[in-house]
Amino acid sequence: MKRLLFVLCLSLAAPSCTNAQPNLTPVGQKAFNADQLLKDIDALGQTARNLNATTGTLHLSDRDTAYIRDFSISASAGILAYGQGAGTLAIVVTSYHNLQGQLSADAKANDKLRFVLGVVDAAIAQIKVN
Amino acid sequence: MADPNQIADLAERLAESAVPGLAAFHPLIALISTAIISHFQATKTFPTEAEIVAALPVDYQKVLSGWSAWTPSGDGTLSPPKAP
Repeated sequence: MKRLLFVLCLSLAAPSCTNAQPNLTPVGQKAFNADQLLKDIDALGQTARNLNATTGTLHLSDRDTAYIRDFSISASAGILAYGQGAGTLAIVVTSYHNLQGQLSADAKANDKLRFVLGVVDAAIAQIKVN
Repeated sequence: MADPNQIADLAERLAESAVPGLAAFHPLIALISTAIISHFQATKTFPTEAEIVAALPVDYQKVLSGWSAWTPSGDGTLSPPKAP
């Protein structure tokens, strides 16, 4: 039980550690959050491209992959601007909602894609909270 | 820097001595805990604000370059270009 608690505590501590950036000004915190989101979107893109290249049940269609590409490119530009102190996250949130509406049922049912989409979703929510 | 595997092994022994039933899950727990400890060791030093600001355009470029290298699988789900 101690081991399980140990692992559980570390797991729970990990997200809070990434958010608790010491000695950062509000500008720096904004840049940090934006950079984390950029990394998550890059991970989403890598996963989408890998799934697109695979065959079988996990294959992500070209169309769905293209939707993710369009989201990634437009959202990243917005995130860069946000992290550099210009603009808001509105374009990112809008693009993300558009993406969710565009993806096919197969894409939404893809476990691997759903996982990374969830990470991006959480990162956007985290920034909006902050 | 301590080896994450050694730290995980120590934690594993402590846990299994406390709860013998955990031994059945040893491989899975060891794998997860080693990964978590490795992550902590890799990220325990926070970047400076200047490093964070400098990383933004680099990571942005990484997103773009990743997609510029993408070649669709050719599964036919992309609409063909319309004839002029």
